[in-house]
Amino acid sequence: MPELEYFVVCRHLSTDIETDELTFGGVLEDIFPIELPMYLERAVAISCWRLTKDELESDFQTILRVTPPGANDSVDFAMNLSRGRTRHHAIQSVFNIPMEEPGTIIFEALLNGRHEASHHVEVHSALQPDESGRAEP
Amino acid sequence: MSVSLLSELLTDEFADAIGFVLPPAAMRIVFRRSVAVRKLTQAIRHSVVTEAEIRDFVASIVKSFKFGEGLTGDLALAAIAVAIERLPVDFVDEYLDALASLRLREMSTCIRIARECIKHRANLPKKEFRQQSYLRTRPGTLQQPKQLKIHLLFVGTKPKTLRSRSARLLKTVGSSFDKPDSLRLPTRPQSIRGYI
Repeated sequence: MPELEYFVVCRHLSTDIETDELTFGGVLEDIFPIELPMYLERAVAISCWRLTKDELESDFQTILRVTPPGANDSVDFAMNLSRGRTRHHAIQSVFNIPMEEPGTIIFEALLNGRHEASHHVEVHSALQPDESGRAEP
Repeated sequence: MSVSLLSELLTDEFADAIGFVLPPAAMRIVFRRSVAVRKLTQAIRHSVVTEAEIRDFVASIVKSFKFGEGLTGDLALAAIAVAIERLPVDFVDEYLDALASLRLREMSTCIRIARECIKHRANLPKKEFRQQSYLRTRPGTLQQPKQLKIHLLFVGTKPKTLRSRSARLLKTVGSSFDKPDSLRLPTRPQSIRGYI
Protein backbone atom coordinates (compact mmCIF):
# COMPACT_ATOMS: atom_id res chain seq x y z
CA MET A 1 0.00 0.00 0.00
CA PRO A 2 1.19 3.58 -0.62
CA GLU A 3 2.89 5.20 2.31
CA LEU A 4 1.75 8.57 3.60
CA GLU A 5 4.75 10.88 3.99
CA TYR A 6 2.94 13.86 5.44
CA PHE A 7 -0.49 15.39 5.79
CA VAL A 8 -1.01 19.03 6.64
CA VAL A 9 -3.80 21.59 6.40
CA CYS A 10 -3.05 25.26 5.79
CA ARG A 11 -4.69 28.44 4.55
CA HIS A 12 -2.61 29.11 1.42
CA LEU A 13 -0.40 27.21 -0.95
CA SER A 14 1.83 28.37 -3.78
CA THR A 15 3.96 26.64 -6.39
CA ASP A 16 7.30 27.99 -7.59
CA ILE A 17 7.16 28.49 -11.34
CA GLU A 18 10.85 27.65 -11.74
CA THR A 19 11.23 24.64 -9.51
CA ASP A 20 7.67 23.40 -8.84
CA GLU A 21 8.40 23.58 -5.11
CA LEU A 22 5.38 23.88 -2.86
CA THR A 23 5.16 26.57 -0.20
CA PHE A 24 2.59 26.18 2.57
CA GLY A 25 1.31 29.33 4.23
CA GLY A 26 -0.60 29.65 7.48
CA VAL A 27 -0.72 26.10 8.80
CA LEU A 28 -4.07 25.79 10.54
CA GLU A 29 -3.89 24.94 14.22
CA ASP A 30 -6.05 27.43 16.14
CA ILE A 31 -8.85 29.67 14.97
CA PHE A 32 -10.01 32.58 17.10
CA PRO A 33 -13.29 33.69 15.50
CA ILE A 34 -14.71 37.14 16.09
CA GLU A 35 -18.13 35.58 16.28
CA LEU A 36 -19.83 32.25 15.91
CA PRO A 37 -21.29 30.77 13.83
CA MET A 38 -19.07 31.63 10.87
CA TYR A 39 -17.27 30.00 7.98
CA LEU A 40 -13.69 28.98 7.50
CA GLU A 41 -13.33 30.52 4.06
CA ARG A 42 -10.60 28.24 2.77
CA ALA A 43 -8.55 25.30 3.94
CA VAL A 44 -5.99 23.53 1.77
CA ALA A 45 -5.19 19.94 2.69
CA ILE A 46 -2.03 18.42 1.28
CA SER A 47 -1.27 14.73 1.51
CA CYS A 48 1.93 13.32 0.05
CA TRP A 49 1.96 9.64 -0.90
CA ARG A 50 4.85 7.42 -1.88
CA LEU A 51 4.32 4.31 -3.98
CA THR A 52 6.61 1.42 -4.71
CA LYS A 53 7.39 0.47 -8.30
CA ASP A 54 5.14 -2.59 -7.97
CA GLU A 55 2.21 -0.32 -7.20
CA LEU A 56 2.62 2.01 -10.19
CA GLU A 57 -0.22 0.45 -12.16
CA SER A 58 -2.57 -0.04 -9.21
CA ASP A 59 -5.59 2.10 -8.50
CA PHE A 60 -5.70 4.05 -5.25
CA GLN A 61 -8.22 6.51 -3.92
CA THR A 62 -7.53 9.12 -1.29
CA ILE A 63 -10.30 10.73 0.70
CA LEU A 64 -10.18 13.97 2.62
CA ARG A 65 -12.77 13.75 5.39
CA VAL A 66 -13.85 16.98 7.06
CA THR A 67 -15.79 17.05 10.32
CA PRO A 68 -16.68 20.55 11.54
CA PRO A 69 -17.27 21.27 15.25
CA GLY A 70 -20.74 20.34 16.39
CA ALA A 71 -21.52 18.40 13.19
CA ASN A 72 -23.14 15.01 13.51
CA ASP A 73 -21.56 13.65 10.36
CA SER A 74 -18.59 14.38 8.12
CA VAL A 75 -18.13 15.15 4.44
CA ASP A 76 -15.77 13.22 2.16
CA PHE A 77 -13.81 14.66 -0.76
CA ALA A 78 -12.38 11.87 -2.91
CA MET A 79 -9.46 11.94 -5.33
CA ASN A 80 -7.85 9.14 -7.33
CA LEU A 81 -4.07 8.89 -7.54
CA SER A 82 -3.09 8.80 -11.19
CA ARG A 83 -0.98 5.88 -12.33
CA GLY A 84 2.66 5.84 -13.37
CA ARG A 85 4.21 7.96 -10.60
CA THR A 86 5.97 6.96 -7.43
CA ARG A 87 5.03 10.16 -5.57
CA HIS A 88 1.76 12.00 -5.42
CA HIS A 89 0.67 15.26 -3.89
CA ALA A 90 -3.08 15.31 -3.40
CA ILE A 91 -3.94 18.98 -2.90
CA GLN A 92 -7.54 19.68 -1.98
CA SER A 93 -8.98 23.11 -1.28
CA VAL A 94 -12.23 23.16 0.66
CA PHE A 95 -14.22 26.37 0.90
CA ASN A 96 -16.76 27.58 3.43
CA ILE A 97 -16.43 25.05 6.21
CA PRO A 98 -19.10 25.96 8.77
CA MET A 99 -18.07 26.58 12.36
CA GLU A 100 -21.24 26.78 14.41
CA GLU A 101 -19.68 26.41 17.84
CA PRO A 102 -16.29 26.11 19.55
CA GLY A 103 -14.66 22.73 19.13
CA THR A 104 -12.41 20.90 16.73
CA ILE A 105 -12.41 20.70 12.96
CA ILE A 106 -11.06 17.27 12.12
CA PHE A 107 -9.39 16.75 8.75
CA GLU A 108 -8.65 13.10 8.01
CA ALA A 109 -6.67 11.49 5.19
CA LEU A 110 -7.90 8.07 4.12
CA LEU A 111 -6.50 5.69 1.57
CA ASN A 112 -8.95 3.26 0.00
CA GLY A 113 -11.22 3.91 2.97
CA ARG A 114 -8.56 3.25 5.60
CA HIS A 115 -7.64 5.99 8.05
CA GLU A 116 -4.02 7.14 7.61
CA ALA A 117 -3.65 10.49 9.37
CA SER A 118 -5.57 13.37 10.85
CA HIS A 119 -5.06 17.08 11.41
CA HIS A 120 -7.03 18.81 14.16
CA VAL A 121 -7.85 22.51 14.17
CA GLU A 122 -9.11 24.04 17.39
CA VAL A 123 -11.94 26.54 17.06
CA HIS A 124 -11.94 28.76 20.15
CA SER A 125 -14.80 30.71 21.67
CA ALA A 126 -15.88 33.86 19.89
CA LEU A 127 -14.15 37.07 20.85
CA GLN A 128 -16.48 39.54 22.55
CA PRO A 129 -16.12 43.22 21.59
CA ASP A 130 -15.87 45.59 24.58
CA GLU A 131 -17.30 49.12 24.80
CA SER A 132 -14.53 50.60 22.68
CA GLY A 133 -15.23 48.05 19.96
CA ARG A 134 -12.04 46.06 20.54
CA ALA A 135 -12.40 42.31 20.62
CA GLU A 136 -11.23 40.52 23.74
CA PRO A 137 -11.17 36.77 24.26
CA MET B 1 11.27 34.90 -29.80
CA SER B 2 9.31 31.71 -29.18
CA VAL B 3 9.62 30.61 -32.81
CA SER B 4 13.35 31.29 -32.81
CA LEU B 5 13.85 29.23 -29.64
CA LEU B 6 12.21 26.24 -31.26
CA SER B 7 13.75 26.70 -34.69
CA GLU B 8 17.18 27.00 -33.05
CA LEU B 9 16.87 23.29 -32.31
CA LEU B 10 16.98 22.59 -36.05
CA THR B 11 20.23 24.46 -36.71
CA ASP B 12 23.65 22.93 -37.33
CA GLU B 13 25.02 24.95 -34.39
CA PHE B 14 22.69 23.13 -32.03
CA ALA B 15 23.63 19.74 -33.50
CA ASP B 16 27.32 20.63 -33.15
CA ALA B 17 26.79 21.69 -29.54
CA ILE B 18 25.19 18.35 -28.73
CA GLY B 19 27.99 16.44 -30.43
CA PHE B 20 28.14 12.72 -31.02
CA VAL B 21 25.25 10.36 -30.52
CA LEU B 22 25.63 8.78 -27.10
CA PRO B 23 23.67 6.20 -25.09
CA PRO B 24 20.29 7.65 -24.08
CA ALA B 25 21.12 8.25 -20.40
CA ALA B 26 24.29 10.16 -21.26
CA MET B 27 22.72 12.00 -24.15
CA ARG B 28 19.84 13.18 -21.96
CA ILE B 29 22.41 14.76 -19.64
CA VAL B 30 24.08 16.47 -22.60
CA PHE B 31 20.70 17.86 -23.64
CA ARG B 32 20.00 19.05 -20.11
CA ARG B 33 23.29 20.96 -20.08
CA SER B 34 22.59 22.58 -23.43
CA VAL B 35 21.93 26.33 -23.26
CA ALA B 36 19.26 26.12 -25.96
CA VAL B 37 17.34 23.44 -24.07
CA ARG B 38 17.55 25.34 -20.79
CA LYS B 39 16.32 28.52 -22.50
CA LEU B 40 13.44 26.58 -23.98
CA THR B 41 12.50 25.15 -20.57
CA GLN B 42 12.42 28.65 -19.05
CA ALA B 43 10.40 29.96 -21.97
CA ILE B 44 7.81 27.21 -21.57
CA ARG B 45 7.59 27.75 -17.80
CA HIS B 46 6.91 31.45 -18.35
CA SER B 47 4.47 30.79 -21.22
CA VAL B 48 6.72 32.50 -23.75
CA VAL B 49 6.52 29.26 -25.69
CA THR B 50 3.09 27.69 -25.54
CA GLU B 51 1.85 24.15 -25.89
CA ALA B 52 0.17 25.07 -29.19
CA GLU B 53 3.45 26.36 -30.60
CA ILE B 54 5.21 23.16 -29.62
CA ARG B 55 2.47 21.09 -31.23
CA ASP B 56 2.74 23.11 -34.45
CA PHE B 57 6.52 22.83 -34.44
CA VAL B 58 6.43 19.08 -33.90
CA ALA B 59 3.79 18.70 -36.60
CA SER B 60 5.96 20.61 -39.06
CA ILE B 61 8.88 18.25 -38.33
CA VAL B 62 6.82 15.09 -38.58
CA LYS B 63 5.43 16.21 -41.96
CA SER B 64 8.85 15.73 -43.47
CA PHE B 65 9.07 12.12 -42.30
CA LYS B 66 10.01 9.59 -44.99
CA PHE B 67 10.55 5.89 -44.48
CA GLY B 68 14.18 4.87 -44.87
CA GLU B 69 15.54 8.40 -44.34
CA GLY B 70 16.69 9.81 -41.03
CA LEU B 71 14.26 12.44 -39.73
CA THR B 72 15.70 15.95 -40.01
CA GLY B 73 14.25 17.11 -36.71
CA ASP B 74 15.17 14.00 -34.72
CA LEU B 75 17.47 15.94 -32.40
CA ALA B 76 14.93 18.74 -32.03
CA LEU B 77 12.22 16.31 -30.89
CA ALA B 78 14.66 14.79 -28.40
CA ALA B 79 15.59 18.25 -27.13
CA ILE B 80 11.93 19.13 -26.59
CA ALA B 81 11.44 15.89 -24.66
CA VAL B 82 14.24 16.85 -22.28
CA ALA B 83 13.11 20.49 -22.07
CA ILE B 84 9.60 19.59 -20.95
CA GLU B 85 10.45 16.47 -18.94
CA ARG B 86 9.90 18.07 -15.52
CA LEU B 87 6.90 20.24 -16.31
CA PRO B 88 3.82 19.33 -14.28
CA VAL B 89 1.33 19.31 -17.16
CA ASP B 90 -0.51 16.49 -18.92
CA PHE B 91 0.78 17.53 -22.33
CA VAL B 92 4.24 16.29 -21.31
CA ASP B 93 2.92 12.80 -20.56
CA GLU B 94 1.11 12.79 -23.89
CA TYR B 95 4.23 13.88 -25.79
CA LEU B 96 6.62 11.47 -24.08
CA ASP B 97 4.25 8.50 -24.24
CA ALA B 98 3.57 9.12 -27.93
CA LEU B 99 7.27 9.23 -28.77
CA ALA B 100 8.23 6.33 -26.53
CA SER B 101 5.59 4.06 -28.06
CA LEU B 102 7.06 4.41 -31.57
CA ARG B 103 9.37 1.84 -33.17
CA LEU B 104 10.99 3.71 -36.03
CA ARG B 105 14.62 3.55 -37.03
CA GLU B 106 14.32 6.94 -38.75
CA MET B 107 13.86 8.80 -35.46
CA SER B 108 15.65 6.53 -33.04
CA THR B 109 17.34 9.29 -31.02
CA CYS B 110 14.19 11.08 -29.90
CA ILE B 111 12.42 7.80 -29.16
CA ARG B 112 15.23 6.55 -26.91
CA ILE B 113 15.53 9.92 -25.19
CA ALA B 114 11.77 10.02 -24.58
CA ARG B 115 11.93 6.58 -22.94
CA GLU B 116 14.77 7.82 -20.75
CA CYS B 117 12.79 10.93 -19.83
CA ILE B 118 9.79 8.81 -18.82
CA LYS B 119 11.98 6.89 -16.36
CA HIS B 120 13.06 10.11 -14.69
CA ARG B 121 9.62 11.66 -14.80
CA ALA B 122 8.18 8.70 -12.89
CA ASN B 123 10.23 9.78 -9.87
CA LEU B 124 8.85 13.31 -9.90
CA PRO B 125 5.87 14.01 -7.68
CA LYS B 126 2.54 14.30 -9.41
CA LYS B 127 0.59 17.25 -8.07
CA GLU B 128 -3.14 17.04 -8.42
CA PHE B 129 -5.36 19.92 -7.40
CA ARG B 130 -9.06 19.94 -6.50
CA GLN B 131 -11.23 22.79 -5.30
CA GLN B 132 -14.52 22.02 -3.66
CA SER B 133 -17.06 23.84 -1.56
CA TYR B 134 -18.18 22.22 1.67
CA LEU B 135 -21.66 23.70 1.32
CA ARG B 136 -22.32 22.19 -2.10
CA THR B 137 -22.12 18.77 -0.54
CA ARG B 138 -24.94 19.73 1.83
CA PRO B 139 -27.72 21.14 -0.35
CA GLY B 140 -30.62 22.68 1.53
CA THR B 141 -28.99 23.00 4.93
CA LEU B 142 -26.98 26.19 4.58
CA GLN B 143 -26.75 28.88 1.95
CA GLN B 144 -23.60 30.32 0.40
CA PRO B 145 -22.22 33.37 2.24
CA LYS B 146 -23.30 36.77 0.92
CA GLN B 147 -20.94 38.70 3.12
CA LEU B 148 -20.19 41.66 0.87
CA LYS B 149 -23.78 42.41 0.01
CA ILE B 150 -24.93 42.47 3.62
CA HIS B 151 -21.87 44.40 4.75
CA LEU B 152 -22.64 47.25 2.34
CA LEU B 153 -26.15 47.47 3.67
CA PHE B 154 -24.90 48.52 7.10
CA VAL B 155 -22.09 50.86 6.18
CA GLY B 156 -22.78 54.44 7.31
CA THR B 157 -26.21 53.81 8.85
CA LYS B 158 -27.35 55.21 12.19
CA PRO B 159 -27.83 52.78 15.11
CA LYS B 160 -31.63 53.17 15.16
CA THR B 161 -31.92 52.58 11.41
CA LEU B 162 -29.48 49.73 11.77
CA ARG B 163 -31.66 47.95 14.33
CA SER B 164 -34.79 48.22 12.20
CA ARG B 165 -32.93 47.15 9.06
CA SER B 166 -31.33 44.19 10.80
CA ALA B 167 -34.72 43.09 12.13
CA ARG B 168 -36.18 43.25 8.63
CA LEU B 169 -33.16 41.47 7.22
CA LEU B 170 -33.36 38.68 9.75
CA LYS B 171 -36.98 38.20 8.88
CA THR B 172 -36.27 38.14 5.15
CA VAL B 173 -33.22 35.92 5.35
CA GLY B 174 -34.82 33.58 7.85
CA SER B 175 -37.80 32.98 5.62
CA SER B 176 -35.63 32.25 2.59
CA PHE B 177 -33.95 29.23 4.19
CA ASP B 178 -35.39 25.76 4.15
CA LYS B 179 -34.73 25.22 7.84
CA PRO B 180 -34.44 28.60 9.53
CA ASP B 181 -34.45 27.06 13.00
CA SER B 182 -31.27 25.15 12.36
CA LEU B 183 -29.37 28.28 11.39
CA ARG B 184 -29.44 29.94 14.80
CA LEU B 185 -28.99 33.34 13.20
CA PRO B 186 -27.15 35.86 15.37
CA THR B 187 -28.97 38.91 16.63
CA ARG B 188 -26.22 41.52 16.40
CA PRO B 189 -25.74 43.28 13.02
CA GLN B 190 -21.99 42.70 13.00
CA SER B 191 -22.67 39.01 13.52
CA ILE B 192 -24.88 38.95 10.47
CA ARG B 193 -22.04 40.39 8.43
CA GLY B 194 -19.78 37.55 9.43
CA TYR B 195 -22.25 34.77 9.06
CA ILE B 196 -24.42 35.32 6.03
